[in-house]
This record gives sequence, C-alpha cells and structure tokens, in this order.
Amino acid sequence: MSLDRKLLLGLSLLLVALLGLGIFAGAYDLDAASLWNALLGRGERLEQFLVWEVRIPRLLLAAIVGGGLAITGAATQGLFRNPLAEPTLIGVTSGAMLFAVIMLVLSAVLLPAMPKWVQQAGVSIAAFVGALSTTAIVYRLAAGRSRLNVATMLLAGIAVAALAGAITGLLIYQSSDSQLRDITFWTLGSLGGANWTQVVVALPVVVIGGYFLCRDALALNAFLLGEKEAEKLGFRVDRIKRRVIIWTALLVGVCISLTGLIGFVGLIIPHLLRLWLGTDYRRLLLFSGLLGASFLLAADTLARTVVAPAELPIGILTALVGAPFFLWLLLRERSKNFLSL
Amino acid sequence: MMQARNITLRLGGRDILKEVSCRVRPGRVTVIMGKNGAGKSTLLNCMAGSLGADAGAVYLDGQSLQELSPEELSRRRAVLAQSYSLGFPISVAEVVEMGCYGRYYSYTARERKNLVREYLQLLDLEPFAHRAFPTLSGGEQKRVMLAKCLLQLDEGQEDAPKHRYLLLDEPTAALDVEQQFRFVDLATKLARQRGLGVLAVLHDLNIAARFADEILFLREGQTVTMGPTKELLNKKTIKATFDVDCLIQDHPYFGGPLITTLPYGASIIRSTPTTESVA
Repeated sequence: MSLDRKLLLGLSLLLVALLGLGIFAGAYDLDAASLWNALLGRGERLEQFLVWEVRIPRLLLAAIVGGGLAITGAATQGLFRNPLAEPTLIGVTSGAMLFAVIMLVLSAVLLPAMPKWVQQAGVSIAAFVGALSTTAIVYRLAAGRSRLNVATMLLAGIAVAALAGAITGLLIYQSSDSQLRDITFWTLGSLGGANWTQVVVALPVVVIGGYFLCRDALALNAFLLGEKEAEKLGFRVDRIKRRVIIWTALLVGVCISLTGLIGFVGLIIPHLLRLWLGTDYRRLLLFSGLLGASFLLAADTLARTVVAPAELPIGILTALVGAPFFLWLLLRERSKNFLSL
Repeated sequence: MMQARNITLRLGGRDILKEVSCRVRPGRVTVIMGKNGAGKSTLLNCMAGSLGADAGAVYLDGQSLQELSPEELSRRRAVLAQSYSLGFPISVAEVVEMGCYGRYYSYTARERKNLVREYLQLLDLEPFAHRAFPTLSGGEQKRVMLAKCLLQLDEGQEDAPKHRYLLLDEPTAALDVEQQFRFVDLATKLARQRGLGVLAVLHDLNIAARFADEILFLREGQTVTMGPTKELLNKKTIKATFDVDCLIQDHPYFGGPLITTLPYGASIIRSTPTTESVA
C-alpha cells in the first residue's frame, strides 16, 4: 500500500474513532447500552434527543468546520507562498467579526422586524455577508484593473482588517454588558449551538469547496516556483488565484459564521503535515482537511468535558495548543533558516 | 521556426526594445548578447509569451503567440529562468515532475514516475531525487530546472507538437567558470539531440562562439546585427555592442576563435607589462 493510501486510511480511521469517542463523552453520562438504544431510536426520549439532536450534529459540525478551516489554511499558504498566511489575510475573518458584532449590538433594533428564521440565524447570516463582502473589497483593492497582486492583497487585507477592527471596537465601546459577553464568546468560538440545519448548510459548501481547492493542487505546487513559472508551465494563473480566493472566502465564511472565530486550526494543521510529508499540495490539501476535522473534533470533545457540566469556548483550546506550537515552529525555522522568503 | 518580428516594447516612456527581430530554428542555437540593460532578457520574455509587446509579434511556426492557449504554449516552449526562489522547500523529484503538469492527466501515476526518473537519469540527478531543492548547489539547481524544462518538452506523446523550443535566460549566471561551460554544453547538446530550437541569453563571448549557430547583438534595445556566429563574431561587432576592444586568435584546441576582451581599450596592452605577455 502506498504512503498516500495508508495516510488516507489512517486519518479516516482517526476521524471515525474520534466521532465514536465524541458520542460517548459529555456532561451527561451515557452507558454503552443506552447509547446503542438511543442510536437506534429506542429507549428514553431525553437520551434519544441528546444523541441525535445535540451530540451528533455537534460532532459533525466540528469535523466539517475543522476540515474547512485547515484546508483553506493550506490553500492560502500556497497562494501567498508564505508559511504564515491564513485566511485572515484576505479580510474574511475581520469582515465576519465586524458584521457579527454589528448584529449582536444592534439585534434589539434590527431583528424584531425580521422573519423568524432570520432572527434565529441573524448573527450567522450577518457574519457570512461580512466575510464575503470584505473579501470582495480586499480583492478589488488588490486586483487593480487586471492582475491580482498577492503582495498588495496582503497589505490591503491588513489595512481593511485594521479598519474593521476599529469599527468593531467602536461598537464594543457602545455595547451593554450582556452584549459584551456575547461578543467575547463569539470571538472565542463555540460549537454549542450546532444543529442539523447548520450541518446541512456547511457540509456541501465545505465538501464541494474542498474538492475544488484540491483540484487546484497542481497549480499551487507550481506556485512554489513563483507565479511566472506557473504561467510558463501552462497554468492560467489569474483565474486560479481568483478561484482559490473565492472558495477560501466561502468556506471560511460559512465555518466561522456558524461557530464564531476559531483560530490556529488553519495555521497549525497544514504545517504539522508539511513537516511530516513535505509541501506537495496534492496530498497536503486533502490530508489537512482530514486532520483538521479530527483536530477540531478532539478539541471540541475536550472543551465540553474538561470543565463539565460547563464548557470551554473552543477557540481557547485551539489557541492554547496552537500558540505554543506556532512559537516552536518559529524558533525551529529561525535555527534552520527555512523561512527564506 | 520561432520568430520575433519588429518587437517594440515601452516601459515608463522609455523604449526597452525597438523594432527588434529574432529567429530560432529547430535544432539550432540562437544566442542574444549585449550589455547589461540592453533588453536581452526582455526580448527573451517576449518570445516566451510572458511579456506582451507594444508593437510587433512573436510567431511559433507561423502561429502568433496570442492565438495559443497557455496549455498549448507550455508544450511548445519551456523557459529556464535566471533564478528561482521556492515558497517552501520541495524535493528535486517534485520540481522535475512539474515539467509534466501541462499533460498531467494524460499519464498514469506510474508513467509520471518513470518519466521523472528518466529525466533525472538523463541529467545525472538520480542521487539528488529526494533532496530538498534549496540544499543543492547553483549548478545542480540549474540541472534540475533543465530536467524540468526538457520533461515539459518531452516528445514521447503521440500528439507532441512538431517543433519545440527551449529558452535559457542567462543560464550561466551564478555558475563557476567550469560549470558555465559544462551547463551550456549539456543544454545545447541535449536540445540538438531532441531537435529543440534554443534561444539563450549569454554573456561569455567564448561560450557563445563555441555553441551558438546564430547571434543577435543588442544595444540599448536595438539590433546591432544578427546572423551566423562565424560571420559576426569579429572586433567590429564586439566594439559596436560592448564598447570594448578585443583580441581574436585561433583557439589552440577547438578550432574556433578565442576572444580576449580588453575593457580599458587597446592602449592598455602597451602600457602594462602583465597584458603585454598576453598580447
């Protein structure tokens, strides 16, 4: 069996195992027999509800979001040819944050007039709209008349993020204590609100987007030698850049609008695999997706068991693992001089 | 034949190239020479299709470059750039494999692997296959890139284009004296064997004298002259192109010319004892 097949099998098994573990674990103690009954739709109502309406959608959402964030992280690093690149750089996160905060602060004014489904999903919808529109602005700023300059996009992304951050700050300054708490929790991310609707929305976007990103793996490999080289190898560089940015914005937009900000998944998962497998996007993208799914699933299971019956915001856990890893990576790079950009 | 016809290119109100024409014949080597800033690399990039000209056009066997899709173009010409910087380190085999990305899906994984091995062997790179590309020396890196370019132009395909061209942008830059000679020798030999036309930007007159069939001399974006190496490599052309005097002797070993440039003019020969012995 080739390395790729072994890895595919191994990572899939890991994901399935973590899904199994995740169903078991939680604040409510379920023994094997009652879990089995609940899975088959028998036994106590409460347990059936807990398994089918709470735990399973949450586990699935964790896997989907983790996969989406990791695969877009890998794709962005390839696009910017930079190991420190993250979807944040294209404005998607700051835009989602700004719009989510607007919704959280102004919900009392804005929401009563809206239909019920908008009221329920108001923050998610706002965050998604914010994510896409901000990316579109950053893209327009960097694309000029014809060609997209990724270096300009990086700078424009930082500038727009700073502006969005300032407006967000202004809104936070204006907000009440309870709103402030909502905002803080949103920025720390949570899978607590997961339901089947969210799974049904996120799954196709992440799977289809992931598929299309994987299809551009060859181009991202060629980008390693530079855009000019990729062009000489026959790639339509501008189209590919646009495609990668659009899918990244869509995937990240959907993921964080459902869960709030979850940092570091997109950064550490691709790097972990890169250290181990090298940078070949033909495997890096797919395997980042699978490992990212497992990582967030494990992190969420941990988040809801360590302080049970309460739960930790998942962003705290991912950053708690992610930040030290990131520092270690930096120190390692410094000694190896591998970041010769 | 690859042909540039009356290329004019302006940048920032300045003519970088002015009505320059150039041709590359299949199986032959055309060299572009000139001072720094004469427009040599610019012309090469125009002919590669990476830069659009303001006037004039480039034709590949009668077809204008604009009519060719990027995919089609990638099968008919490959370009060896002056230098490479990698975003992330990847292995030598992975770099070479990029040569077949243009036709990636017409091969099975096994065929691709065999092709990569074939080209690694061709350039004596097999021991480096799994080394990280940035850890190689300059000369080795150039050979890896040449392997990639030759794989890009591999003729094994049934529908391979009839004529294919290899463009070398200063292939000797950053190489030591021996490597410079070896690399151009290797590249032109392999290209001739495969019937590839070669267009190269070179600085060394003696290397050009030895490997070029035709030379285009450029000065300040304009053609000084273009023609067969034997006819053009003389004191007059070299003076008109580089503003230097030179000595041309019969090469004691190769049977061609041996050119020694005299950067401060012919007078220096008489004034210093060291150059006297050369004269």
